[in-house]
Amino acid sequence: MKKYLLLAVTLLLICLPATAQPNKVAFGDAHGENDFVINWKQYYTYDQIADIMHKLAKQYSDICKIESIGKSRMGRDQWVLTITNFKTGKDTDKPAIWVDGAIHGNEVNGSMDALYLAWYVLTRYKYDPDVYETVNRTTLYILPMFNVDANDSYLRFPNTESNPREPFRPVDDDKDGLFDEDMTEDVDGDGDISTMYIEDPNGNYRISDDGLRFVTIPAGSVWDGKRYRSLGTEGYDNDGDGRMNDDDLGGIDPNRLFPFDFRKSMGKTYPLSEPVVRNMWNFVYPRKNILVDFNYHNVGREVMFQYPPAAAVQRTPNTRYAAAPVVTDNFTFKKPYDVDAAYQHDADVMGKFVTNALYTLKDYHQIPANEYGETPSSMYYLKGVYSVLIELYDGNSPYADTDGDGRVTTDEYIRWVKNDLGEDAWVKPHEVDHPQFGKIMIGGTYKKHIGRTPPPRYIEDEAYRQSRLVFNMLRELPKLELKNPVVNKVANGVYQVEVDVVNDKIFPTASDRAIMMKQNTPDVMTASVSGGTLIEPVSSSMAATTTSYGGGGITKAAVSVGSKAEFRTKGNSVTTYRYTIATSNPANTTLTINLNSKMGGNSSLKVKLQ
Amino acid sequence: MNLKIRSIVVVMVLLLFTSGATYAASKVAISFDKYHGYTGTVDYLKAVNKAYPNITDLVEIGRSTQNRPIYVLAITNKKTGTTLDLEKTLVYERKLEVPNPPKQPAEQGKAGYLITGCTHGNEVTGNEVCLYFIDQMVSGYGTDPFITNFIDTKVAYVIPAINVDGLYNSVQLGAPQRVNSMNQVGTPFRQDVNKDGKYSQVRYKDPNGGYKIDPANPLRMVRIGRNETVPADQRYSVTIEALPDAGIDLNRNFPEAWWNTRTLMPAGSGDYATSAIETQVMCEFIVSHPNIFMVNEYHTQGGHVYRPLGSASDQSVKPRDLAVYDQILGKKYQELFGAEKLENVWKGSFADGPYYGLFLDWLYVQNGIYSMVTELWNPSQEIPSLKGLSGNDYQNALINYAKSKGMYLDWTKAKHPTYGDCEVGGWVALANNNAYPGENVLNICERQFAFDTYCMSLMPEMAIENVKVETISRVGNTRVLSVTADIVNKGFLPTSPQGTDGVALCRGDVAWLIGANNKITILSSNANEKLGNLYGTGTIPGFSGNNRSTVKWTVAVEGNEPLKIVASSLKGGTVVQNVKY
Repeated sequence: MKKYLLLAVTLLLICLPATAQPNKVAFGDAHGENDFVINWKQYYTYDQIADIMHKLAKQYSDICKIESIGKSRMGRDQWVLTITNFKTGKDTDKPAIWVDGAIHGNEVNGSMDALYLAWYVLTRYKYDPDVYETVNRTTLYILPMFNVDANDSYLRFPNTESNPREPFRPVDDDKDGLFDEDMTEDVDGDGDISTMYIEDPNGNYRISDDGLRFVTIPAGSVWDGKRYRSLGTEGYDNDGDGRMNDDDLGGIDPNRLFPFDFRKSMGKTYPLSEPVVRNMWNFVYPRKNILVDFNYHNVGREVMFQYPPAAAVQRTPNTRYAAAPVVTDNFTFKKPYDVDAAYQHDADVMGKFVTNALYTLKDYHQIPANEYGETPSSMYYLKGVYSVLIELYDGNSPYADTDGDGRVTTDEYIRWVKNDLGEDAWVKPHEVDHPQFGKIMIGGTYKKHIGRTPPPRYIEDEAYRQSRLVFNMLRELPKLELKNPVVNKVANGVYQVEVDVVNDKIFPTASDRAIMMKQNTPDVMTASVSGGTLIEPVSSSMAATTTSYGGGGITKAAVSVGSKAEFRTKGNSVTTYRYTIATSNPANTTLTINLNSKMGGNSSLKVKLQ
Repeated sequence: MNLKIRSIVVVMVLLLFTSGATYAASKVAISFDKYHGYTGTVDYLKAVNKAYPNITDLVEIGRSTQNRPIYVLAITNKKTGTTLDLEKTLVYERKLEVPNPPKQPAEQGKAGYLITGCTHGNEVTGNEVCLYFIDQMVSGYGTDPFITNFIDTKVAYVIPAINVDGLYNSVQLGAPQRVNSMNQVGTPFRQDVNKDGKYSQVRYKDPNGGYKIDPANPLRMVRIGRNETVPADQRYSVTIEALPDAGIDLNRNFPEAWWNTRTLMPAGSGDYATSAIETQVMCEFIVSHPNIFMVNEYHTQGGHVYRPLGSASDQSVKPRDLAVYDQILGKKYQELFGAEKLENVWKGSFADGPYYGLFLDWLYVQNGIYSMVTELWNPSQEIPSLKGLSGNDYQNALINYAKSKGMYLDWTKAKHPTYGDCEVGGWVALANNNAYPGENVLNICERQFAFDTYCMSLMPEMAIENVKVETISRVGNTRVLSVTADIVNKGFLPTSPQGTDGVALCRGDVAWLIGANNKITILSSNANEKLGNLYGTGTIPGFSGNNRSTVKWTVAVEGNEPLKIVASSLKGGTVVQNVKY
């Protein structure tokens, strides 16, 4: 076998950024935070977040634009930020990550985290080479406030930590014929929804010794002081039916409205019935460049990943419906079941995705996503998007869990309030005149932004980790390179050139599922020869074959291609392509290869045969 | 109605038409001697709404891909009816920026019957049946006791066309279009090639064509058999003058069983369930009208009714609902047709399926609505001269009959812009799957109106009976009363199909005792009593139940404050009665 070493190679990255290189700053110095100062120790309302987003889009107009993807039931705009270097190409011509926050109205830490992500990437762009390179070649779509009406209501009005969750389509929750007529109210006008107690000689509650809460009187024990009975959450019996707060605002869970396998037991209405959900889907569905999806929810510190379809025969015990997979360490991906062989690459990618997420988030755990109706299932099954739903924070706040047993007792909460948060975080029992019950007591509970959304001072702690997670995955979007050209003479006047297409990122240029659903954008590789003839492959098969040459030597497995080839490039992969060229004058023969991948970037290579 | 009487009625109706007369009682003239299409339908709906403002509401429920309004005509006495919302004053209204939702309109307190036409744009017979239904209903108000009572106590909804773009293209442009216009405009050309004022077929010589002229009937084009040798110069291709838009089948785009749960790949049409705007419009209409009890969708063709399910066998239909469908509704349909066997005119859609993403299935499974698809028009049932014929004899007789109705044309030479020399003729657009205007359409309309009014006569009807009040005590101005009443469903069918189990937006029947909030105190635990779904007065073979439920309250009343009982069924209507004491 005669082997001719490569004589000249020109590697050209067409998508090199046109803008200036990032500023050099010392590691210990500010990286752009002072260019756009925000106080991250407070929650922002709908109007405030919309305002911050507009200001970001204005200040960073080269790499950020803002648009409304539609209006909610009550007429609020849903604002989306698109972040990419627009000078290096359109957002839709680059691989992208979609991030949305707070599809459930009350889960507003998701909004804060998504907003923080935008701020983090935009402010750092000019100072951090990593961010700079990534933003130049990828796109980030961020919808911080998904369920805008409920997001706004949750923040601005007295609410429990769990309400309002849904968009405001009236639903007769208590099935009494009236719609949304009986929700909680701030009876005492103190801005918080707490719990109501009434004095009752047979009641089994008393006020605790520290005066902060109501505690149960153990059965059989003696208590000579005042006894109370619980009346439930603060509010009125609005419809006078004898039941309190039994029909609150809305009732259609927006995260059960996505179209994949929509069914009676999940959705209540019909797919995308709420404007906020339909607007989002109408924006996302046509964008084939979206490869990865994050949906921010609370609570539980969970990485809920959408896993591919299961194989008909399972060798691994199926833990799909188990509470949580048992993991020996927190970071190793524990596959919930064996996948259908057609989706093996998706399964591999998802495993790496989850492990990376857990390393970044540290005290989170992995769990397979629910199926029908939720965002990840439609993102994956309909579009082939690798999808992860993040359950932020934890009702058993790690900040309050002083003994580290994973649970937070009332005592631990009280200690946390006293030592860390201050008593402003607590509603002390106080007397109130209730129009239906007369003199009652209200209080003994923590306030909003403790149980489901973190206290404001902890917002940045979570937001930073989440931003790093999304950014780390943005960095792992596919990036293709043409490498290692090798020329072999296989017969007199016949040469073969082998070249590697290398993607050292986790994500492929299209998922198995995207190809199955025809939602992929193929990588296109064209080639031409000057001074000779490019011989088209006999078979159009894109399977790799190993051939032996005249002398009996074996080269590596390669895919035979001709003037135009279309393919998908897997994550963390090296694929060898083989060109066959006939020429009588190898010294003056050049093969030019152009790789155009919307998802992996463009590159080209010239190979001289001798 | 036996056949003899029926044919006399047909003759009389025909006489009315041939003499150009319209129904005496109707304020808006309508005839069925040609298809109305979209524009004719909209004109008619507007005219009816204008002529009958007290018993009709014309509402645009959404717009199509090509921005045409989709209308529903609600036929009900607008002065009657109530809802719980309208009767009950809340103790406390919300004081937030998000106000309490608007009160449900009175119409929502009436049991509803919906008919729809043209889910498939080229199935125009259904559109005509809807218009006939409207004409009969509005002109029968005040003269026909059943219709008058129905309009006073219930509501009929008519959506003559769902796929309005398909209907417009089919009739107004002569391009028969089953699907919606998903891709907006996909039309290479649309023209009357031979300028005869009709849109029909085009045949042209084509050495690779798949058709030949039937040697026995030169009017008829027949497919060339696979093993048949036909000389190249006798081969034809057959197309149509006006071509429709590209789109999707709306009746496979609904969110019930759209996925093949085994392969995890789509089984219905479109990119996903409700991907078509027309599907979304229908879903929103149904979800926001939970008072709809029964739906009859009009399609063509076949001459039979499909009941649920299309996606699964009868094992997935609740047994009581199967009994209602087959032994009550189906039996009536069989009788109207004079069919020997039920399965000739009435079957589960799955029998010819499976079908995925059906409106029929979504209505029944996810909304708890009795739903039916009526496949109108079967020439062998409707045209006497075809009786007993089959094969070529049948086809030739059908062509002759169609020709006598102007629905099949002689072939005449013409020049086609794409194919050059050609002949134009054969089937007129829409004639291959629709009843022919005039007698055939009217026959069908009349029979379907009889069936629809039969279905409407079975609907639930809430009533409050035997109200009794006892004074338990009297201290000063305050009396403690015991109030009892019977809540009754006087209709034939239960207030809900059995299949509403687990349907999130359905509820059971409920009875409230209501008085001024600051003057009465309910002493028994609840102001409302939840009754489940009351049975009806009718016999459902193999099933039984109670159509009456006694409710009781203890209430303290100041002075002579008026008290009332409101009985409300989601799909059976809401009624109110004052309590005298």
